[in-house]
Amino acid sequence: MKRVVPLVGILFFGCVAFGMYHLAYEVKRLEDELIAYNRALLREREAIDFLQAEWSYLSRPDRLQASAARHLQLEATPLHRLQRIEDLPARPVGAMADGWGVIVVPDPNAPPLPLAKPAPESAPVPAVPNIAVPTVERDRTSRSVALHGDPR
Amino acid sequence: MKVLFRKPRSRARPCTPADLRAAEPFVQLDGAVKHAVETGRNRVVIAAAVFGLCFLALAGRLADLMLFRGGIESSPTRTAGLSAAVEQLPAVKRAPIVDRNGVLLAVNLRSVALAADPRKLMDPREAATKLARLFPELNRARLEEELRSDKGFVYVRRNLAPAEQQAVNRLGIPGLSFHPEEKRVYPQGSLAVHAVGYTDIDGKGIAGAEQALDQRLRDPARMQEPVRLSIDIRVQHALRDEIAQAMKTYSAIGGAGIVLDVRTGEVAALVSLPDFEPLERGTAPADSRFNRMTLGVYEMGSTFKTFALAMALDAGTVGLNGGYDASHPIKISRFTISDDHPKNRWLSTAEIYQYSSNIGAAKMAVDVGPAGQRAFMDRMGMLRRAAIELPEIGAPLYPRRWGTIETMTIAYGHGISVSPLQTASGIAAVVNGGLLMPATLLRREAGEPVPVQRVLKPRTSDIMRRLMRLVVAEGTGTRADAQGYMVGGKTGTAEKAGAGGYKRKSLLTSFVSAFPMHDPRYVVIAILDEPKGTKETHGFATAGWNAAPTVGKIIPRIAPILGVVPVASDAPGVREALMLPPPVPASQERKVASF
Repeated sequence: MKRVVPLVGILFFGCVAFGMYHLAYEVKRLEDELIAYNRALLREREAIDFLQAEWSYLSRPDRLQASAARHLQLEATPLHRLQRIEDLPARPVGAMADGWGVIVVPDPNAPPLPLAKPAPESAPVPAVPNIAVPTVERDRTSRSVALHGDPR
Repeated sequence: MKVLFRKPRSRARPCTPADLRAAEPFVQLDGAVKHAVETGRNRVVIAAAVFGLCFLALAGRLADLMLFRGGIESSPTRTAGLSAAVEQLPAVKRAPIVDRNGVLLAVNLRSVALAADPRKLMDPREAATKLARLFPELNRARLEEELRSDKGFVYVRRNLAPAEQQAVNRLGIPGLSFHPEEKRVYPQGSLAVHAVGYTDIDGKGIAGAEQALDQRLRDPARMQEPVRLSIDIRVQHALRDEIAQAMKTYSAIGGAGIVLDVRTGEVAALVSLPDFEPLERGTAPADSRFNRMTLGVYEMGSTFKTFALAMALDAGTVGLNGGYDASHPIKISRFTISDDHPKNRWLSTAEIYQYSSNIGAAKMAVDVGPAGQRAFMDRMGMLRRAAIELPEIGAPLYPRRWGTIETMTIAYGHGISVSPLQTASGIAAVVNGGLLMPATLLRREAGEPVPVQRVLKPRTSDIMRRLMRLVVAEGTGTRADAQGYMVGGKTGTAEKAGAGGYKRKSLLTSFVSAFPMHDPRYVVIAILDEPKGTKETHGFATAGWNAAPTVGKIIPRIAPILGVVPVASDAPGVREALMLPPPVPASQERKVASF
């Protein structure tokens, strides 16, 4: 018993001393990590500043106007097509946006869409699926109905 | 002291623990000694216990930190100290400026300066060649000469972009060093240079909002928070684009324009052309750096009839049914006041404005009198500098002796010089129900109180809206009529004063307008400096032929951006708001009475 108490004591003190040492180094390491993170944060912030400046530079209205004139066939919007968003009619029940962002009202009499992708057939699939033409055709009509209403 | 230990039997043998143990029974302790030993033992025990407790507490805290909380919780003071240490990395020293929608107009970017220590350079010739290849604007020979000098520090180039810094690093020349610095970047270039302004090389604002808001921009506490201007860069571009095109079409030497929110006094766009790239501030000609909109003061010409009419209607010296005889020019001392579009008859109040009659406006002002006109102009802010967050503010010029002649000429915009900005604020007050508010370049938040001052009766403003619409619908400003936007306005053509009087051929044409006239939201002013006639204008160079159509092109471009919905001219509410009672036929009685 007389030997056990000092031994336990010494062991205990040793543990505590190691713990202190370990903690001190752990704190130092965490501080270094924090400093590194803060530095990285500053670097990122700086990068954001640069990118924002670059974005502002690249989206200059005169540059956009020149690009639009060169690459797009845009016309001035006729007056009757300008409306306040709150003046638009409410979206019909069951309406949803298709892949083109056009609101489509499903026809209740139309056959239901397949729930799953059809199983691959043995016939060779064309490399470029020819889906663009019919989709565009359908979209043109639905867009004019959905957005313009009756032309004034 | 009593004998504690038995004397060793022989000196030859040292004392061993066995001897001590054997000696135990021989130790004699009497009361006092026993007490002292007990005290000592107690003290040791107490000290050990205290130390033990301390270590226990330490162990507890350690376990707490390492096992339970994992050091996550930390006191704010500690982290504050830490981040202070971290933030010693150079932080930007000037807040960014953005437009009303957050588009970056000015920002401080960290950059580096490239410097060299010639004493450490191994091969100055090679270094100079490589650097000159990288930066074509450097003079190779002069650089080499500098690099051969025995100085310890030579700037090679300042403000390197990150890509350029990398390129220099890739060259791998020893003896070069980078030094962090900051530069002010204006991504939108010349677009809003007269509003935003610029800084000097030390980052101090020396023009525009950069100078006016210098204190705020350098405030360390608000460094992260950008200054939000009232400018909308899209409107600014549309305005600048149209003014620039008009300058080209009509071969004008300068142009200016403004879009002002009549409800808040916010400037949505401010253009003065020619302008310049902020980077070339040092070399730009003075004419380009001159802000015609706020610093320049001009005799605005007939646009001032708007104020003459508002004044007379507000004072009640004439009503819509009234009018003046404009059949003969006024001859007063050595001056003759005549009309540019003479009708040579009695004109109703509305017709005087519609046909821009100098004679009618002059007579109208005389009825109010010089003192009344002076007080009115003062009330409208025409006799003091405009209030706006810009250092470039022109002081108005007006006669010290304000007599009848001055009253007559000021009625049609001569003899008083004001900045176009003052005119814009005045027109805003005329159309918005009679409230004058200071123009501002800072965005006002919704619900923020606007300092206003009532300068006109709401009824006067209502009549003026109808009259301004009349000028565009069937007067001198028909070319400004942008369909659907109910534009109202007034043309103004002033001869510029030069040495020895007015110059017939050098005109300053302007069109002041507001839209939509049934519920005005914005004042738009376009000014052209010395426009020339073209084939399309049949050689005319007056405002109705150049400034008015410019406004007519500006408004359809900016209205959708500003959220103004076009209306039909016969829409309910619009017609009633803009209708004028038909002019009462002139009776001989009235003619005499008003003369």
